[in-house]
Amino acid sequence: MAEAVQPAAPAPQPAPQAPQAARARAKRMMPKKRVELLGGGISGACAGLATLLVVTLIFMVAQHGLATFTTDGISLASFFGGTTWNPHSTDDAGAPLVGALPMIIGSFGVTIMSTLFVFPFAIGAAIFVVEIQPTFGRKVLQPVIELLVGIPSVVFGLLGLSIIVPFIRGIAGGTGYGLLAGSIVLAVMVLPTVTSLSIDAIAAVPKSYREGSLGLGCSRWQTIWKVVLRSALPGIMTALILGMTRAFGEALAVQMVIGNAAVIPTSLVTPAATLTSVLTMGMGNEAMGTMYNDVLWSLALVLLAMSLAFILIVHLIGRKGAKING
Amino acid sequence: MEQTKVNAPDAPSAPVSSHTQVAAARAVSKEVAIRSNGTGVFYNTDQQALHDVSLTFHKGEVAALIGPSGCGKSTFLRCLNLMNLEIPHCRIVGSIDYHGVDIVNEKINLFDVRTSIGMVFQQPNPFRKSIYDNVALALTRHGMAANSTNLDDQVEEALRAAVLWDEVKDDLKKSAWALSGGQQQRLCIARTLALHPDVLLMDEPCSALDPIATRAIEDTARRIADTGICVIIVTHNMQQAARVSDTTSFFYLGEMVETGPTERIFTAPEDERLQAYISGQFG
Repeated sequence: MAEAVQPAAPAPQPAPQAPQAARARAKRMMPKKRVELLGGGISGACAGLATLLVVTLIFMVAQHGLATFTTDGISLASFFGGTTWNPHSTDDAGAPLVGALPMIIGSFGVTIMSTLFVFPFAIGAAIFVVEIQPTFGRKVLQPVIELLVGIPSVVFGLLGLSIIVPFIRGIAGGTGYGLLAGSIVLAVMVLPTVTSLSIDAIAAVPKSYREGSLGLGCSRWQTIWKVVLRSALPGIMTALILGMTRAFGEALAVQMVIGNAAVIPTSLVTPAATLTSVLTMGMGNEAMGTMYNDVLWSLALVLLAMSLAFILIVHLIGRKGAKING
Repeated sequence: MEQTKVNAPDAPSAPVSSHTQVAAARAVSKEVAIRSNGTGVFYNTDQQALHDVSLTFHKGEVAALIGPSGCGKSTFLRCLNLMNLEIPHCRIVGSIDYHGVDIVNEKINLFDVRTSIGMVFQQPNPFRKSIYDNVALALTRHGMAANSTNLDDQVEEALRAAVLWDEVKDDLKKSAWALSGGQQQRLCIARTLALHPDVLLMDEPCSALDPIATRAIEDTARRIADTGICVIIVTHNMQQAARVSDTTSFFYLGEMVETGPTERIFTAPEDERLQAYISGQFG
């Protein structure tokens, strides 16, 4: 840059000065390029760090989780198919009792049931907010619903413990702890998320589709049911699956109301356990590197794999939706 | 292609004008399809968007509503099938006479009215369904098909009426969203025609389309009118109004300024605002 400025300065003639000055100007652009490079470098490093974190996290969980099967020599069948969870003791043949099936069933049970509970309410609320009472819905209901998203899960657990569990105990007898209580607490917990995302999905349906349907003499209900929900389906599915992801991974609230008995549930109102509840209860008590600890890591690996699968499904739906919309 | 487009309005200009004259001559004996009397529209009780429009539309004619943006031509069109009632705080005054029924003031079945007064919108808005289901939806909703064979026939008839059948007959199960813009718009026309309306409202149906697709829509509109349906088309494109319509009405600032046979409107406009608009002084 200095070279360019120096020859430009002693040249008094206007004619050669012009290209010199232009060259100097052109040269002066360089530092900006350097800033751009620096900015690109910093943001790239941040992105790289985030990716590295995720990759190492998955690697670590996988490493510990797979140790169960490699170093501890537990067979996949006894882990995924075993029905007894008691890693401190062994069965008659001397193999440790690490059957994860009760927890896997528990986790899927509460997730699917809570989704079934949440689905009608979330869709109904979203239809009300977008289609029936847009002014009130958008100004009052939606902000309130979004406020609920931020409530800590322990609060939901506490409410479940003091309201839902006694309620179920009163109706069905027993302790009141179990899959049903867990599902209800989870349903209340993911309702705001699913509703909020469903609202966005339904609101994103262009107004012209509604007009097209109304213009054909279809009633409001026919319009909502046949046209609006149909067009918003990928968005609503995404909302539901994100809700399921949250329900599947939730630990604290579920642990408080599910009863924590690692047995295959025989009814909805007998104590059960989920992957997360067993993890939270056991993780702090076992020394790193022991077989018990490794099995807990395996549970974490199953959780992680399922969450990744859910997210993958969301992406696939998004891509399919984009294809149809495009 | 450019050449044909330039020539096209000239070449058939004689037949078009004679056609217009024929239509005008027919208009005397023609049946009234829909008639507005002092129709106006208020938004939010005090904001008047449309003042006192009285127009008569006949069966078998193409009527164009022209005017600059925001002049009320679309608002008027949306009165004719009561689409404005879907807007909160919107009120229609005056009366609209449809087969002897005042659809504004009398208690009527809104959904029945909209099946016989069809509407095609500015943006092609096919439903997210197959081509077949787009046409079949309203037919089944209104219970107009006796059985599936009958439904097939009605879908085919509607697609033929919208001049789309030959292009889509082999992939009726394909998503309607895979069609081109012009095809989508003709599909929207087809699903409206499937309900056998006697009035077809078109709200700037070509504004999102390229010139070739526009031509196809215009031809379709003409054919539909020839089957005895009253086609009312809102357009900001004066050439389009001149090409397709038998009568033209000019709207300005929420009022209907002048109406008459299309040829007279474009060759001998009386109102000076219309003269200015036609000569391109505002738009």
